[in-house]
Amino acid sequence: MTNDIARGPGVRLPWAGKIVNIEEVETQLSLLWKISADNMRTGQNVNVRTSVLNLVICAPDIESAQHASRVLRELSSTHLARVAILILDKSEEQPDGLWTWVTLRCFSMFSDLMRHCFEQTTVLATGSAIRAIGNIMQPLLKPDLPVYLWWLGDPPDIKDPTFNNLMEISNRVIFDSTGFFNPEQDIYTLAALPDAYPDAALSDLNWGRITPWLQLVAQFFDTPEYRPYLAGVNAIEIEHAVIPLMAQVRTEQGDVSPNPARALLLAGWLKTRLGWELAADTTGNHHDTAGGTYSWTMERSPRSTRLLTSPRSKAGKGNASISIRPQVQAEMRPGSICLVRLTSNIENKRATFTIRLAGDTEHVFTSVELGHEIRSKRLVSLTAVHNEGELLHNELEVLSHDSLFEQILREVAGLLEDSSLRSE
Amino acid sequence: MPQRSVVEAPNPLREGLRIKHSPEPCVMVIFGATGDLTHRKLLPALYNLALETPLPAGFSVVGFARRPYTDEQFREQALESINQYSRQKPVNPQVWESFAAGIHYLQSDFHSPAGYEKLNTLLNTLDHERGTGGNRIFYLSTPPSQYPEIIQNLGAAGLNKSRKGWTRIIIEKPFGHDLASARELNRQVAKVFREEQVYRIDHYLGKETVQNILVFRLANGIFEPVWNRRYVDHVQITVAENIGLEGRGAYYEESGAIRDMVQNHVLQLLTLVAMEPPIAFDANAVRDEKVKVLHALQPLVGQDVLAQTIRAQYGPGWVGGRQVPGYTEEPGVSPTSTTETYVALKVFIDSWRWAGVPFYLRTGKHLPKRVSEIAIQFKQAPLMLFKRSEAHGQVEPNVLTLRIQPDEGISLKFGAKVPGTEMQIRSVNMDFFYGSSFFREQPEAYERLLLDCMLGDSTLFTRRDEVEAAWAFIQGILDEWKNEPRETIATYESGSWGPQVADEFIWRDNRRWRRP
Repeated sequence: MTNDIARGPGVRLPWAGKIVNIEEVETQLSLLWKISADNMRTGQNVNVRTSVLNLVICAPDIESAQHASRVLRELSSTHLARVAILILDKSEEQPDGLWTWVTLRCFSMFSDLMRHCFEQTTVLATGSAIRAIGNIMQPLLKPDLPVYLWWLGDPPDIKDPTFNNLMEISNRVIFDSTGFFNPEQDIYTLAALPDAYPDAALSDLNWGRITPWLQLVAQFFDTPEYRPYLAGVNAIEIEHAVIPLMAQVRTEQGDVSPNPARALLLAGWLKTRLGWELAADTTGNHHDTAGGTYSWTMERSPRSTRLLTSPRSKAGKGNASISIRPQVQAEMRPGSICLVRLTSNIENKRATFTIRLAGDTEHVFTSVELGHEIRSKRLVSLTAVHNEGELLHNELEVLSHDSLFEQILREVAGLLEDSSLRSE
Repeated sequence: MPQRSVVEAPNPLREGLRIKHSPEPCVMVIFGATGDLTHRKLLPALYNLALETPLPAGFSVVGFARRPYTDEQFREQALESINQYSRQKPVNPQVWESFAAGIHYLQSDFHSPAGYEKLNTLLNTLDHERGTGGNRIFYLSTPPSQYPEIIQNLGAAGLNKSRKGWTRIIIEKPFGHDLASARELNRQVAKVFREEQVYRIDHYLGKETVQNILVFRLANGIFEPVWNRRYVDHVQITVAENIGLEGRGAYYEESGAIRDMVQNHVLQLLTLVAMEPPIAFDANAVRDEKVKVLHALQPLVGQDVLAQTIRAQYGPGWVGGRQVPGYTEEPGVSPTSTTETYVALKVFIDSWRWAGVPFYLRTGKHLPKRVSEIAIQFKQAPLMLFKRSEAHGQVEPNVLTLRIQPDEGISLKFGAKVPGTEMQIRSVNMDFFYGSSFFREQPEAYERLLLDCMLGDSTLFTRRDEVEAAWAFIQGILDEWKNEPRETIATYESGSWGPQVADEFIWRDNRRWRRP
């Protein structure tokens, strides 16, 4: 196969470094380190080389690969050892081809005198080389280090052989559901991955985006006075931002609108934590994929919750509801959460816990109403992570399965399946 | 209002979340809030926790001190301090806004019961307005002489227990001046607070690298088998400062190096290195093992003290490129002072693991550099195969060094062949640096410790018996030193690694001090 693959500078990627033959990658990287060390002696910088992880970025095209390469600059606090950017050009007219570039990327850390450097190999594969990419990648990985696979774009079919090859060498695969063009179908695909590839953990950058919201919701019930109301929650409302257009659209930043992925994850989380099940009677359920509107009738069961240890808890059985709806927001990234509201009723005492955006993406109002009395209302900094590099950094810090996230995905898939939303 | 259960289950919404440890809402009352510690360490630490760790929105701080400030004035001072001392700058305005909303100030003398009544009222108001749930931390950031008064008044006002929620008290070092005063302070604390409410702080335990000692030992299978007398020749623990008194002459005269450093920081490092693996990684299991080490220390009494300890004072010299005066020339220091600024000790631990292995401990001021490290020197290979070659005499023993500060990390020295036709061996270092392996900035020690207290985790705090066992060991030395003539106090030039007698002290054992 090696002899059959086209070589040579058919494609120019100046940002990817020096074009080399793939067999020469290690030698060329060693040479780059040596040159860098010589520069260090003259420039009095200290180059720092780490050995903590391999990051493999799988991109569908050159543009997204270049974008990912830029994001790597923002990972200055992550201990990358080696990055491999794979561009899998599946255009039908492309012959079999394999091009490789190498570079050493160095960024100042803490001061100008010390630089963190990592090795970057970029591989452009076309034709049959794509199918063999897993094997082609093997010698490019630093041994004994975990492999994190960042898959750009929509998740592939589970049976996709290229994806399968890459998953076999990966310890973790990272997606970003904010860019999924078919969010419901794609979430369904994600939910199936843990069973299909049990050795690889799963991440979604969107889960990191909603983490501050989860934290704020959880904080309501840290207060002992409000804890009993958790068992009485009977309605969940979530609003997500959409741009003011009727049809589904992908924005310039790559976001899709509507994209209820974050809202669905948040709803799935609450459903799981509250121990709710879908009600047998589904006639009240509603979905509107195009508009990003959903509602489900749920069943609460005191046996399925562990919210109160007191046997005197009056939180009984009953119906509950989850509603997801869009909120037109021209200035916000589609999919952003705009409002979360939990309504509770215990012994005929009503309580409402609300978090809503306070006019910008950095602050929210949190409020608790007991009956008609507003008990506390606060402006809180959301401390949200929007920056893609930071979100990615957070996922690179996680070594094991995020069991909660994988469970939530299954819950969301269950909700969507019940709504008969999965495409055949 | 619905009935609450007697035992509150954990918040089920937190289960499985990847969010860093987030404590329950609480109020931290800082006694002595206008002092140096509060502004240099505590407020910046709390701010950084608010920035990086989701402190609950209702978290509140009450400064309790004598000076007549308003809430607003105290907040302004807090902002100034955070701007100056926080490891993350500039201050994030949104986070500050949210954080500052919970900062309050109460002016009172520490002996005034009315002040504690006002405090009680304020705390109840904060419970209602900010949802702090009856959870309180009282931080004693005052001179130790005021601890008993504050503790007693907290008890008298009923603030030592909450009707709902929990109450904890953090007590700064020094915890006592000697064994008797430490026991007395413990007794007074115990009259008002249960032991599980008490958090005695030694900020060294909050350092990432100190915590890493246990991780290094117990998370890796290869080190424990050689971590004993069969393979270890000796251990050196060095806590060196290049600074002098920094204006604390009056305090230091009463303290000296052995109270200021050895009784707490140095012995803490010793216990972490020498302890047996605990049966579980919980607060009491870990501290049980640390206390055992302290109890197993061979007491130093009588002539042993003279033979196994060195004390010295710094004389004039050069440190960090500038001339510095000698100790007795410092403000607040008596010209005839016998307070030691340098201590070296050789101690033994009577346990199966460590019998016969000397632990050399040293600490001092105005040494050439600021460095804290633990060096474990292993015994030489039992058979020197290379004695007929030029390698002989160049093979050094293996040394595992745990660097606490600066250049936090771990290194292992071992012998490697020099490339070439001859069998030449040189020692090389295999290094792990925190800074270049984990580029995340390390949190300050106080951040970790304050958060742990909020979370109710006392693993990194000192227990009552631990404090008393450490004092019991030190007391023997103090008692003997009182009887020794002044001539036994050596001097050393500022900027040197200590007195000549300290070198001779270790040379007698055919060993030498490391140059960190």
